[in-house]
Amino acid sequence: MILHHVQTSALNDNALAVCLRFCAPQDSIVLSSDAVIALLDQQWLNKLKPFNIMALADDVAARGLTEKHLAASSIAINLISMNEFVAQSLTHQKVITW
Amino acid sequence: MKHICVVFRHAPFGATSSREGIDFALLSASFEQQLCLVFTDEAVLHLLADQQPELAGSKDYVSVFKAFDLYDIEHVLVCETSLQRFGLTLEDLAISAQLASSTVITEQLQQADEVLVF
Repeated sequence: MILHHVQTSALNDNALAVCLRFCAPQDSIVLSSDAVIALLDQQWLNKLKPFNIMALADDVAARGLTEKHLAASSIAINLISMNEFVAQSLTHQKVITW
Repeated sequence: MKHICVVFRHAPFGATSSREGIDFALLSASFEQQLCLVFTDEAVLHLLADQQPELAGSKDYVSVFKAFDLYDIEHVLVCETSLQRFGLTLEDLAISAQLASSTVITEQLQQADEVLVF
């Protein structure tokens, strides 16, 4: 079980696309900084749907995104703190930063 | 001894990250780590034969790929989807590499102890 970490915007870097290509069903994906923007885009949300999706709460709030904006998404996104991110990295077998 | 997988996803010449990844891979191999290299997306262009890096003002680090087996790096995987996308085949490549489907690469990433992406 791998924790895939994507931190660049899917609109100007292929990191999320490559991550999704090599992501196994049981893996998790954590989006941070500009990568959280993908959570507003239904096309990306559809591709993220099969996986356990997390996003750094601070990076989401920093950008003025609220539950309302994320509610439009059809998938469960758990917003996590930095401490939770560290905990997640320990419960997974390894972390891949794309 | 760790099984390290190094994934390249950026094009040659544009960024320096690929050069750092190659140096990292060769260094790890010289420390007897078990290496597997994966070239995906535009990074498959690293392996094209007949490159002339000097025309792009870049040092010739492409010839380093030929040293892979010197460092006994045997596992060089090329993403099949990316090759097809660019209309390339294994014959276009400068070194011998294994054509790998997404599932094969996914499996490699699962088995590796560490995966680094450049």
